[in-house]
Amino acid sequence: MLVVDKGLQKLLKNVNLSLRDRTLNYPSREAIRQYLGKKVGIFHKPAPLKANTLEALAGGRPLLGVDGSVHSYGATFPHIIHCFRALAAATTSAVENGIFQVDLFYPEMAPHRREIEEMVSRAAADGEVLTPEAAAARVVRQKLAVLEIEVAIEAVRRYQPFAVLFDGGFLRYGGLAPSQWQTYRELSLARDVMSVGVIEEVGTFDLARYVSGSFPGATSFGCDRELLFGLLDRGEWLAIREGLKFKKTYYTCFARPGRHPGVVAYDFFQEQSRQVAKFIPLLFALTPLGGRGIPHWLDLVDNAVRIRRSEMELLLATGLDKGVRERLFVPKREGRIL
Amino acid sequence: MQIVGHTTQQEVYAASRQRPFRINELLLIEDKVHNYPLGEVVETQSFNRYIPLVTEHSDLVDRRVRENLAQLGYDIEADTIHLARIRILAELVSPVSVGIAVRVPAFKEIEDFLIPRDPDTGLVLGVIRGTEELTSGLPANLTNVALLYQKDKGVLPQRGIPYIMDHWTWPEYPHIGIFGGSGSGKSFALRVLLEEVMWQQLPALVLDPHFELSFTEAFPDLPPPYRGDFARRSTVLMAGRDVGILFEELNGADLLALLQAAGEVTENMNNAIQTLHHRRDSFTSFSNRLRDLTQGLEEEQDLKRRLREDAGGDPWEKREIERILALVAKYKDRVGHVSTLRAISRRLNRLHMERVFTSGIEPIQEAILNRRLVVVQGPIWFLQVLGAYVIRKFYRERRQYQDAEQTGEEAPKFPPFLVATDEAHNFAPRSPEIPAPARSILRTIAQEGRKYGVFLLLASQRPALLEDTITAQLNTKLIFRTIRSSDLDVIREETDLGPEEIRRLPYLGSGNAFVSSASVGRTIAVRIRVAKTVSPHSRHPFLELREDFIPPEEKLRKALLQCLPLGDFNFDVHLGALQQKLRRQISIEEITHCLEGMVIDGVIEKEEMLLGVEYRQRKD
Ligand SMILES: Nc1ncnc2c1ncn2[C@@H]1O[C@H](COP(=O)(O)OP(=O)(O)O)[C@@H](O)[C@H]1O
Ligand SMILES: [Mg+2]
Repeated sequence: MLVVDKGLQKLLKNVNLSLRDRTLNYPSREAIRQYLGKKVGIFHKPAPLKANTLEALAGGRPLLGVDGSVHSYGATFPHIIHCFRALAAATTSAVENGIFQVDLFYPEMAPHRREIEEMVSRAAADGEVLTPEAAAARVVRQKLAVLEIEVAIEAVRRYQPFAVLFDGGFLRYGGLAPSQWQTYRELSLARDVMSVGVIEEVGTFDLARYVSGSFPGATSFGCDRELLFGLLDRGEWLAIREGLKFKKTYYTCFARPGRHPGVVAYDFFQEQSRQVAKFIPLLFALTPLGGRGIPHWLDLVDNAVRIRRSEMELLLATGLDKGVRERLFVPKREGRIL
Repeated sequence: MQIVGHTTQQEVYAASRQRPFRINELLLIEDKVHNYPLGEVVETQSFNRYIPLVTEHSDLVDRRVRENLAQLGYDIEADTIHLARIRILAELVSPVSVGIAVRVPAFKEIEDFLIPRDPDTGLVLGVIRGTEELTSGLPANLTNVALLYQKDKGVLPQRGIPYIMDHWTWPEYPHIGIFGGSGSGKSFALRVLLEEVMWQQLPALVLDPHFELSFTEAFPDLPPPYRGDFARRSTVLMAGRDVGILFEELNGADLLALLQAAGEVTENMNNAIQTLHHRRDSFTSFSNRLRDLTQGLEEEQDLKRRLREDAGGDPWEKREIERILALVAKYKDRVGHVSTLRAISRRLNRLHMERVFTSGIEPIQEAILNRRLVVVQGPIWFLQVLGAYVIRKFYRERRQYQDAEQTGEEAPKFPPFLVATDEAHNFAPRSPEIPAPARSILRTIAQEGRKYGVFLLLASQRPALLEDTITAQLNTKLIFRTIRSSDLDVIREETDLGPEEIRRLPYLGSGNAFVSSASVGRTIAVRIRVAKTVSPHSRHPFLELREDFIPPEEKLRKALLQCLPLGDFNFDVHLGALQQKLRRQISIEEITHCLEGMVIDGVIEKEEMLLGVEYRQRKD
């Protein structure tokens, strides 16, 4: 369809109208800031880090970036191959020389099928009914989290970093791989390693919910992302008051490190919350002003670990017999002409 | 270095962390299955992980962030990867496997591939680019046979494997084109090629509209062993002085072509020419006929009256009048108006003034028969006509000789030969609208010359304007820097240059070229060697001013400075020597004037002495 679909256009217009109405009723930026400052937390605008102070702050130790990637190839369950790769890279060597770990998951292989069955029965014990497909999806997410934590643990042991940046929040690790996450936590705390989960897409609601209703006219802010959009100045961050813990185990704050008006969130371990104020300027110093708000080192790690489609195709082309590949994995849609 | 990414039978990518790739370098792929094929690097890239990120997002990663990362130990260089796209130079049946190692080959491994003949029996035109690393492994007979030149550094030793053109393949793959924009190195390359042609003693006729192709002066600072005596193997002739066209040998078509070169020729004029020109006419007989007829047409009534009056009894005048009136009666209806004849006369006179008809082409023929290179210099319009005439004649004689050989008949010997010219698009323009006497013979040679051992060597900065059947027949093309898109189109069509090479064409440095050759079957990147000779007027005009046009006053000043101190007391002592040195009369007044000038300019000092004035060296 090369011309805009009139019907869809009209429906989208309604969405726009309702969102606009909502913003029309917003209190002013100042009013929200005032309210947040009084009830929820404190706005900090630290001075930028002075040049050549980073090395001293880091104590001569490197920074670590951790990220993982999964690429799935295939048409229909169970004939889907998942390839995993995780990377923990220290700034003292090339990104490519970091610690890599890979894994593969294919539901039709006996041990993997057993993992799915175990997942189903574990859920059943908790009174949850999982289809094998849903269970497989959970296994996949779990495997990725485990892989990332494992490279992080190994890298902390090997590189003695002063800080570890994770690409994503802590909830995922704690939820999907509790015992490995616990190991990591203890190790990093013992070695005085600062851990940060950098969240690019803030997906929480807690703040928005807390604030909604506190203003006359019962304004709803939807989600935190919406509430905080454009609310922080550049180089500013919002600390949440102790006692107002939205995420139970972690200390979360919001920040706007660059020009983009949206915010990112940082997760820290509660035990390290006292160091957060000192640490955030350092994060800012490593984040490009024009970018998405992610520290550059994490971008590099993300770029190196990602399994791209071309790589996946090359892998499959060289690793699988053509017959096998065609019969089971090549989605019919790849043959589409249009 | 190893193969990475996608591979096909024709193309692979190689990556290296340590060593940047060089464009056009040859690499050996250590693939046993495919018998170690060679590849040529056609595209190189070195990139840092930063770069893709820079382009993905709008903004550059700010310096601040990079410096801060550097403080945490990050070495940006460590993440630099060198990539090369490699064209495989063999026909493989299946792709090369990923992960296979790639290395620089030893000379022995690629010798057969790159050296078609040894340098003594081929044309050594330059070096193959991308083979620089192999220089030290070259055998003695391939070392320093192609010295290089760089404007700011002068003559340089050979770096790389020599590029040797195999002219023995010409009967199969005839004719050479040299194309490139102005300043790209065409003329330089033409000179180098002609030097090699002379070295092989291939007879050649060179039409030189730029008056630059003489071979008597050695290239400055060339090491002696590299020099060659080209004066002995070449002859330079000036059109109109040393060579011309004997009017007696012209036919109507030749004459038309000549007159066209001197000015536009209308259909009426052409009719008149064909009518009035007789076989074996001399210049005098033809121009007299033209003059008399013109007079007759203009004064017909007068002349008839004079005749009736019996020409006042003068028998000589009577005969003259009768002769002229007879001409009028014979041609009147066929030659049109007097103005047509006048126009023809004007053109004919112009040619005469340029001394077109004063001599013949024997000197050219003699040089060709002696296996020399003969350069004919002259204005382009003259060369067009003379060239067309000479080439047609030589080609005919060569053909007759060879055909006679076949049938066992007798015919004068005539050797195979080459025809070379710069600005070829002027001799054989593509547009049929433009009159060009040499076009048809050049086209004939392009199409069938190889049968008779007659070959073309055409240089042009406008391939798009060159006759297209000729372009298509040039089996070897040297392509220099080209910018114009219409020319690039022709090159794309008429050569096997790939898109990478086409993309590089506008940026080639002077003297670098791609050689697209049907006999080799692939494109080779070359750097043309230093020429062994120079054009006599290649000196910078301002340098020439400085060296050859020193004002007389300047010369006198210099000479006087060497005679100081000077004064009335010793003028006569020096005068003789000064006159001899400057080879002219010099007066005491002139000397005094000149010395006074130098005093004013502060070059010397002057002091009044008892015996008069003394001029002397400044003390500081
Ligand atoms: N093979 C070469 N090596 C070094 N310099 C060259 C070479 N060819 C050309 N040049 C330089 O480029 C200049 C222009 O070359 P020229 O042959 O006169 O260009 P064109 O005939 O294409 O206009 C020369 O004067 C010379 O300085
Ligand atoms: Mg030139």
